[in-house]
Order: sequence, then C-alpha cells, then structure tokens
Amino acid sequence: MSSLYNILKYIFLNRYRQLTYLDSGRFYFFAIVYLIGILKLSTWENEYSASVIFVIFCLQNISFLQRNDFIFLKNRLGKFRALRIIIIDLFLLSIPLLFITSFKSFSFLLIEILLLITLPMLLTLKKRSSSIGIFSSKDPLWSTYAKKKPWGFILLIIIYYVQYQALSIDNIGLFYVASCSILLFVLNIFSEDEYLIYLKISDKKLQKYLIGLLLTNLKNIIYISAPGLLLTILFLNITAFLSVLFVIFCASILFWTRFFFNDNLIKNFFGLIVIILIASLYDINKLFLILPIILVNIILIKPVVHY
Amino acid sequence: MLDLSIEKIYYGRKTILKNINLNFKNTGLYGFFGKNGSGKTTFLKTFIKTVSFDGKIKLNGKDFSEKNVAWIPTEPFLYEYLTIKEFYDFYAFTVKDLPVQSDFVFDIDSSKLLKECSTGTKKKAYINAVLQYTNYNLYIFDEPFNGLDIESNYILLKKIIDLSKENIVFISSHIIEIIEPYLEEKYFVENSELLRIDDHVDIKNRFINE
Repeated sequence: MSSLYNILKYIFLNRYRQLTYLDSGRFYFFAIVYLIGILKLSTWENEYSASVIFVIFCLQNISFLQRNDFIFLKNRLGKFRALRIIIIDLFLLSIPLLFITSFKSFSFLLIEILLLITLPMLLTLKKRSSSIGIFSSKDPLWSTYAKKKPWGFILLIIIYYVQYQALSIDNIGLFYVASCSILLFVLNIFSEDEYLIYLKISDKKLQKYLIGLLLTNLKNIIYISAPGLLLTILFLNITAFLSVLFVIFCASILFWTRFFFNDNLIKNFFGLIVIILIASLYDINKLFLILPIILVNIILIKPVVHY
Repeated sequence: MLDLSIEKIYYGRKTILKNINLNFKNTGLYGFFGKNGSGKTTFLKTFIKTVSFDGKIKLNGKDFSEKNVAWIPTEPFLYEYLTIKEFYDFYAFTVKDLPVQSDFVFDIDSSKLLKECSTGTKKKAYINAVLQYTNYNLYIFDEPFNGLDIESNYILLKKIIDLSKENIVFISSHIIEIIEPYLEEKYFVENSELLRIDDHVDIKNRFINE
C-alpha cells in the first residue's frame, strides 16, 4: 500500500511539474476551468452549460493522459499492478466530477465513468498509431498530429454534436461558441513543437513557403469545419455561412504563430478571443481588423522554435 | 536454467520471429546481433512480455516472471519532470525483495531535473536506477552503448562483464568488437529466425559477406 501511494505520488509530481515547467500558465488555466466547472455543475443550472463543461473535463483528462509509461510500469510492477495504478490514477483525477454528479444524475455518472476512466485507460493500453489521411503531406504538422494523437479528434465529433444540438433548438450563441472551439482545437495543433531545421537549410523562398503553408492550413481547417459549414447551409443563412468561413480564414492566418510558438494556453486564448471579437463584428469592410490578431500574437509570442 | 520454447513472436498478424528453442544453462553474457529491424529488440521484449508470443519461457523449471528483469532499453522511459534522485526513489518503490547495492554505476548530479539532462545523462540515470539493485532474474541490455560517451561505455562494459559472472545477461549491440571477446554464446537474427553462431565464427562476416 505504501509503495502504491509513493508510486502515485511521483506520477502526480511529474504531472504537476509538466504543467508548470517554465510556464505555469497552463496549470492555472486548467485550475480555473476546473473550479468554475465544478461550481457550475454543482448548481446544474443549465443542461447545455453542463454539457460544455463536461466536454472540457473530457478534454482535460485526455490531455492529462498522454502517457507512455504503461510498458515501463508493466515491466516494473507486472500487468495487474500496473493496471491498478492506472485505474487509481484515473479515478483520483476524476473524483471531484464523479462526486458532484453522483448526487445529480446516475445515468450521467455512468457515462462519466465510461468516458473518464474506461476510455483513457483503453487509449493508454492500446496505443497505436492511426492515420487520418485527408491532411496534406506538404505540411506534416497536421498529419503528424493526427497520427500522434488521433483520439484528439474525438473532440471534433463532440463539437459537431453540440453545433447540431444548438441549431436544432435555435441557440445561435451556442452554435458560435461550438464553432469557436474548433479554433481552440486548431490552436492546439499549432502548439505542437516545430522543427525548422529543414526550412533553415532550404533555399526555398520564405514568402512562397509561407503562402503554401497558409493554403494548406486553410484547406485543413475547412476539412474539419465542413460539418459545421454544412449545418449553417441547412439551418441558417448565407450570412452565417460567410461568418463561419471568415472565422476559418482568421484561424488559418494564425498558422504562422507555430514558428514562434507560445506554449501558454492563456496567451493562445487571447488570440482566440480576438478572433471571436472580429467574427462578431463581421463586415467585409472591416477585414483590416485581422491585423490585431497578428499584433496580439507578435506581442505575446514566446520563441521556443527548435532547430 | 532458462528455457525458451517459442513457436512465434508477433505483432498483430505479422510474425517477427518463429521456432525459437533455446536453453541457457550457464551464467554469462549472451549476444544478439542482426540488421536494423531484424527483430533483436522484439526478441528481447518477450522477456518483459510486452510483445505477443506463443510459447513458454521457464526459469529453473518455473514460469518466468517479467517483474524481476533488469531491462535497459535503447531509449529508456523516464518521468522527465522528476529529478534524478526522485526517479531513483520512484524506481525503488517499484522493486520488491531486491537487496540494495550501494554504488551507482555512473557518478552524476542527482539533483538535476531529468528534462534538463542530455540524452546520455538520462540514460545514465536510468541505468543507475535499475542497477542500484541486484539479484534480478535476468539482465537485458538492448543497444546499451548508444548515446553514451566513450568513458561511460567502458564503465558500462565493465559493469556488464561483472554482472555476467553470476547472472544471465542478454545484450544486443551493433558495436560487435567491444563485446565479442566476452560472450558466452552469440546469436544472429535473420529472416525471422534466431541462429546460434559457433564460437570460432567471426560475427562480422555475417554482415560483410552480404
């Protein structure tokens, strides 16, 4: 029992330092979301807000569990003890959520156990690389992300569902929030470390390279936003369709932040808020407002480019 | 002492190695060689049971347990946000019934965060953590010299030779010249098979002739 406690202690210490290493922004971001989420769930004011928060929890748990220590634990502890450690670890991470919802809804609790404990456990045990082949190989960032973290795309399915639900009950605000979470997903992909040695030693012109990347990213973002765009055509009007398209364009412009990348979610979030702001002011004559996105990122970026 | 009767080792539908029937009667250093991707690491992984295989591994007539294996992979897993000292302590909690050995193989600053260590130092930290204990059932070194400087390679080689005097030690390496003189037996992995190479045969010829 003592060794179990100590092993978990070091796993949690490692995780805490991972979140706070060099930049504690991510940790505080998660902590604030977590506390607000718990508070919101405890009051259970609105079915949809609960769903949105629940999605955030799922995201958080999946993000926490990007673990590759199962083989090591299995070697050291044997299969069953290693499994026990992982299950307890998942359980400890999910305790606040499980505790609160156990008083609210039994069926919701069962879904939580399935998603928060069973799913990440299966993902840990059956780590395999799979490919989502729609992304261009010219820019390996997206295709690499798809192979490395294919389960991240589960979030998109949830977002599409929320978009559909929002439109089916005429909740346009929720639809836009869900659409913007696609941008958060995109920013998450852009937050992957970029190794630029190839560009540095290449004789390719920088402008040509960047325009090529812009087009590739635009195409990739359109792919993942396609269901949302389809929903705007089916349920809304051409203005809404153009608005979503505009947001997609704004997100594509952010691609270049990869080269400086900020590994801080709070800073990233500023970029997102600016996009939302601009999208809300959508007007073809105000296209120049994209400039603040670039400006905000220039100010906030922290160069951690790898060569 | 250690008996292997393995019909096949596989990933999904793909068979990596087949028909392995070996008997390691004596303590000593056993070398496994072959080209990249031939299946050396896969073979060694059967002893920690992280690959699928049909067959049996017995140690002194009993089923072999993967728990008491000193496993030193090419690229060891580490909790990178722990300090080296914390990782030693963490490893200690995963060990049962193994007496402590006082000296570490490598002398390194244990207060450093693993994340901030070089590849070589990380590997040294892992080796220190594993070999701070003795009495493992089996020692496996998979490409142990990769990433280490020359001095560290000789320190590690000496340690491996010492261990092989009283234990069964498996090693795979591409630096044949260094370890060949100390080998009890040598094996070559080729075409999904594990072939024993006679003592008088120079293993380098297996590569050069082709």
